[in-house]
Amino acid sequence: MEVTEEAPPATAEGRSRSPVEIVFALLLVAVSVGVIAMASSYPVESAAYPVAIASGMAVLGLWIAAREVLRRQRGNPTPGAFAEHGPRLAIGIAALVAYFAAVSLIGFILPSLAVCILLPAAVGFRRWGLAATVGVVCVVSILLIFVYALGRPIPEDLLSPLLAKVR
Amino acid sequence: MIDALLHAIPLVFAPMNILAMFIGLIAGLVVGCLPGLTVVTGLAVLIPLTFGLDPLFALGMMAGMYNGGSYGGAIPAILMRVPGTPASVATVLDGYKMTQQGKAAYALQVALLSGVIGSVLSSISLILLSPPLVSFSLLFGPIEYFWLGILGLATVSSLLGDDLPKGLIACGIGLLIGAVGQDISNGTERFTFGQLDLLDGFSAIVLLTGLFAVPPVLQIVEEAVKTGMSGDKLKLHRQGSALSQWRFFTPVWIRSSIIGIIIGILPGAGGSMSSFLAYNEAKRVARNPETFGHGNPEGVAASECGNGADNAASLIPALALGIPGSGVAAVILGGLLVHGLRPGPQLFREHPDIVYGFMLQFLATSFMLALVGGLAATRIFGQVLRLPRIVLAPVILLFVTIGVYSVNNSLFDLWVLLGVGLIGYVLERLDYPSAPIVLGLLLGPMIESQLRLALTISGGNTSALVSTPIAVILALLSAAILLTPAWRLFRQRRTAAA
Repeated sequence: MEVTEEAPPATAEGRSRSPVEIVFALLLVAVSVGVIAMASSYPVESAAYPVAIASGMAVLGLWIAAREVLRRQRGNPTPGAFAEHGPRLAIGIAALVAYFAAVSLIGFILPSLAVCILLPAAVGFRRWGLAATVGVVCVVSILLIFVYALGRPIPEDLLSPLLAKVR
Repeated sequence: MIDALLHAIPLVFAPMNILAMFIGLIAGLVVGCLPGLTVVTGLAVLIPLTFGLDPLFALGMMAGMYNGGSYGGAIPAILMRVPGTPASVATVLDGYKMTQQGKAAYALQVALLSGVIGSVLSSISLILLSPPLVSFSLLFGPIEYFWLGILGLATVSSLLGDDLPKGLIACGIGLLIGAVGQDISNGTERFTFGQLDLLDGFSAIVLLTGLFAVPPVLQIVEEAVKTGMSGDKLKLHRQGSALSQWRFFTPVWIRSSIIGIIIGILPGAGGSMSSFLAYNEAKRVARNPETFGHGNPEGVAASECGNGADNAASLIPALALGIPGSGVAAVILGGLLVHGLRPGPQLFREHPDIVYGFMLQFLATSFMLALVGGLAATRIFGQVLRLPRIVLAPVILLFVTIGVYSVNNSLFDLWVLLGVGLIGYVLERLDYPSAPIVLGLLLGPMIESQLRLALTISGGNTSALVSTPIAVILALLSAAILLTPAWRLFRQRRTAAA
């Protein structure tokens, strides 16, 4: 079969997620091969089950990748973009990573207030007062219900000494 | 069964448990009426928050959220032409037309009453049909449980999605995640990378939350909707009583409830399918089918009744056999396991008060929905639709974070949550179904342990796996279900060629 070098034709939405489909399928194959390689050092009875599953996944991953390549060659790649809005998706992912990193470092309260105000602002929401109100109401509700009423823990916080005094 | 039900009644109606059902209903209404959030998302946020609480308190909230969310989806469907949940899509067809005709309050009333009737009948079917199924499962040994697990995976993988290879891969991901941790038979550490946190495997609660609650956060950020609904649409005034027209609606309710219950029990089917089938059936038998899609209240009644009727019914195979009938049921199954409750005969034998209490909570929340979901409540809780959706993304993130952290007091779990959430987002965008991952995660350890047990008993003889009639039937059913999509494709191609 002849392989075309041309980019796939535009879909109804003008974009195709075909490359991501192929990359992800191949990634699944790589992970499956890794699982099989790791399991080879386990006793047979512990290795058999994950090896059987990973083998199946590797075959299916190759199937999906090959299917997508064939679709591209035939000019009908899987339609629809992977991300509706790439830059905003990148902002969302960055915000999640930054939030969890901040929670690990300085605790729950300040990063939570910050993410409530800054995340909407980062994608163009300019009603700061509303965002701040929602953030404060949420954080205070969580503290009242989970920390004070139910005695559940929160990540070690910069404001823990202050909370202890309030308690 | 009667004794267990009688014993469970006072527990269900203890003040704290009534409060739990009420909170769950309200939360469900709010989650359901927010487009982009589904009941599954709501449950994924709720489950870690309920960790460590009394099981009936936690289960009451889940039952309330399921029933509340089911109706909540109808509110924006009727008022804004935006279905709150996938199951409310059919409600849009006539509901929004009724709003345009100035009958929004009446449409909401019809939706509420029909949803309540569907939910009540569904809850009764759960109470009546689960025990016989449990009695049947007592005939099962390791071989049958192994095949039952395979059957569950096969049905959900092949039916929850249009793409069988992707469904099977999703299932494989769940099975592999379930294999992480110490092998209890010989102590081998599998795929732990030396992390003590992974010795017991990944926490089901963290994975559930990551898969179902983090992707909506990213989606809301991507969409970045900065305005809410106009407050004028919530100025609802009473417009006649749907209850007084019960004679008119009864045939629709009966047909739609039967459809919803059957679809609910069938693994892999779900709310949107039952509401559409119920809608189509109502239209098919109607004297004036041409009025459907132009503001016929029967259309709203059929869709919402069918939607409500599959709620509790989808838990029949989940509670009795551990095989959920829908994605929501799979998440609730995970919620039960989080509270140390393993579905199946053991659950009915060891915790009858909890399992029957849970069933009664479905019935009770169905009735409570009639009170909580009225016009006044819709006016109050519907206000959440006025919030710009973008501010909800951090709110979900906060509740998810605190819920997951407090399960094990572990920051490691938060990073797992993030990783799983990002992978869940990619899977969702590439149309890999998420429910088979959960099912693989939950059923994987059972399948492996029962297979090993069966082979140990038979001295390693693999033919023992098909040595009983039930095992053969289950194996054939699994094969038939897995081959059905291929057979359908073959027939389609043959028809096209002809």
